[in-house]
Amino acid sequence: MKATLAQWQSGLIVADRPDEYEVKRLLGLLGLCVPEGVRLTAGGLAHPPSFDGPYALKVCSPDILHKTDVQGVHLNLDRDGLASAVAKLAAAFPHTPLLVEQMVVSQGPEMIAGGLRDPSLGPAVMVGTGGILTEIAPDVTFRLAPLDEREALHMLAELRIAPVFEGYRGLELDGGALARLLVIVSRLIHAWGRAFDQLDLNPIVWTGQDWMILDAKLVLKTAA
Amino acid sequence: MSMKPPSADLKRLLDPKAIAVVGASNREGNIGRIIFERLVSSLRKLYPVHPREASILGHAAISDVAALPDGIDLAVVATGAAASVDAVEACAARGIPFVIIVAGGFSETGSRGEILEQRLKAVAKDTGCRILGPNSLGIFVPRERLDTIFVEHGDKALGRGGGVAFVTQSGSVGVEALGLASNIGFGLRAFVGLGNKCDLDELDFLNYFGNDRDTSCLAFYLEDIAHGRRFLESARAVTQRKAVIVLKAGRTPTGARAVSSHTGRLAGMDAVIGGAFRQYGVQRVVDDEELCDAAKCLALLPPARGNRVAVLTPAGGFGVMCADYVEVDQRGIPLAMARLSSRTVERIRAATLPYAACENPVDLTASADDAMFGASLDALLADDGVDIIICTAFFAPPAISDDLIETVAVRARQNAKPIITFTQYGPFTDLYLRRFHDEGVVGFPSISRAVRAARFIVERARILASLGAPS
Repeated sequence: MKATLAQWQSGLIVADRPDEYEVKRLLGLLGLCVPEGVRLTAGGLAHPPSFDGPYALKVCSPDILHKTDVQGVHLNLDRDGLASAVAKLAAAFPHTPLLVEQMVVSQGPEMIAGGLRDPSLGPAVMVGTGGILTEIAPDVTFRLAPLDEREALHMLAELRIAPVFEGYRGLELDGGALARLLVIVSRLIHAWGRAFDQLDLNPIVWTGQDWMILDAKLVLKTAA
Repeated sequence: MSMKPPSADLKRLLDPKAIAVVGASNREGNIGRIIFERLVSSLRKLYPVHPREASILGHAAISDVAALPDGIDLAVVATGAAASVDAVEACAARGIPFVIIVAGGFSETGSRGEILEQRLKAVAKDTGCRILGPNSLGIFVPRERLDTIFVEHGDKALGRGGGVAFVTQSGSVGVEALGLASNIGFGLRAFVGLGNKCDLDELDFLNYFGNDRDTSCLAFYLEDIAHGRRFLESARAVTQRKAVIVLKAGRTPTGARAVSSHTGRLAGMDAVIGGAFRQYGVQRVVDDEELCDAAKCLALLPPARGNRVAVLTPAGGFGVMCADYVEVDQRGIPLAMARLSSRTVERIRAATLPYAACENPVDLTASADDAMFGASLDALLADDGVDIIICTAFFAPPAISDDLIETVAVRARQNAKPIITFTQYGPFTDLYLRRFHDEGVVGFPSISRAVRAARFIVERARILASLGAPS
């Protein structure tokens, strides 16, 4: 884990300030499921993506916390739509990388997972009901990292939304797979030690095969 | 964080044979006098230290710490802040292993006090003399008749001892808890006022009482948890043997730095500590009443085998309220009203009046007598579909006598299935709760507290079940 982290960290465009594409690449290296994507750093789309649409196009910068709020996201694009959206975003956000991703079909609720460093207890992980309403009607729970799969399942069982993992209204969401995701996240932030500050994986959706992390944000403590 | 020395063996602190009291005084109302008077009744060897007096309350005074004989286990220092630091340095030099510092005026008051407290820390670090406090309320160990607490605390119900180790960072909350405990009854193994924790802290007492055979339950009031992870890891080991309850007051902000993530904002003030407590098997409470209630039931009752509650009452209203409380989901610990077996219903019907309600809640009506209570309790105890019994001990009905206490107690003491009693009897309520306590029965003066107690023991059973394998 530590070697993977060190290697990944050395490849960041801006030291200690990974963008969404870079965070997702790390999550992929750890075996977690993220959308197919490509980062455009030269300001344009030289050739079409190697994967099929529909596409999502997002501005990709650690400086922009809420991409939607600044009109930095375009969804459900076909190839033509993608090209013109790239031109628009490149004009609106000059010198800022863009991220093209394959959109996926998902079912059930959006989940959130995350991590932080508690000042007295150290690294902790969170899981809960995700999406944009997560802070208005919180349904989340925390544990200290690292944790095992059994403890992660206890976390899911504590959520108000827990019945969705037990076949509620015909949903077939794999709670065990989400628990394994939490275990990996907990090992990641634990391995990071004091350099880690905050992590958001939100939303995370069930594709029918796996839990896919659609958005990811990582804040590291910049070396003082 | 790694500076914490290994946990001390606190036996000489909690069961000292020879005690020096620095600042002992003949002056009426002086704290040093109050403490000395209390210690006189402990029947330990006492050495009052006073620079001028020849004797204190008939005990020959020693003029100076340096002149104390060998073999002193504990020094209680009851002087002002600055003099206390000098006294502690002298005690350490004299080789006294434990010191309790009563005085405030240290880090809680500002930078001058902080400097004094740094000197105390240095003494502990450099000499190995272990310090409780400063600003400590002291210790109270009923079974050893040891009491260094200088404020009045009712302790009749506590005097006979028991299994609860009560460790508190706040003096006033501690005294109030002692009062609550002595009103409604809970058995105290030891009371410890941590004060400012310049040396000994909750982790030392967790490790000590966790391994102490006479402690059945640990209750903490803490405003900050020193060595958080080590405390939790030790707690996890202890909870396999006995309950650990923590009231964590004063919610710590997640951090001074900007919180830029959903996760950080959702952590809010203390969601992390709530989750961490569940992870490590620590039972969390939010106020002093809950802390005492949890300590009381977890010290005495066996863990529940399940969450199915049977309610027995001579008053319909209490039964209905109780059923409502049972079915509300609280603490994330759901309870259910038990479905009684037909055999149980038959047994109760045969032993009670024709108009008694023999389904759960079992309502014996105000015409019930002690024998009907006994027979109904026996039926409920024998029913495999019942995990917990909440028994309304309502003494107003004419055929109910004080023998009901023994009727319940003889069954509760078998300890096969937890029985929680609710009693309410006007101005005599506390008296009856204490009588139940004296007979080993856990009682509460309200339905909601009785039902909450059921949740504590279900939670305890869950912890025991889930801590089996390491996490």
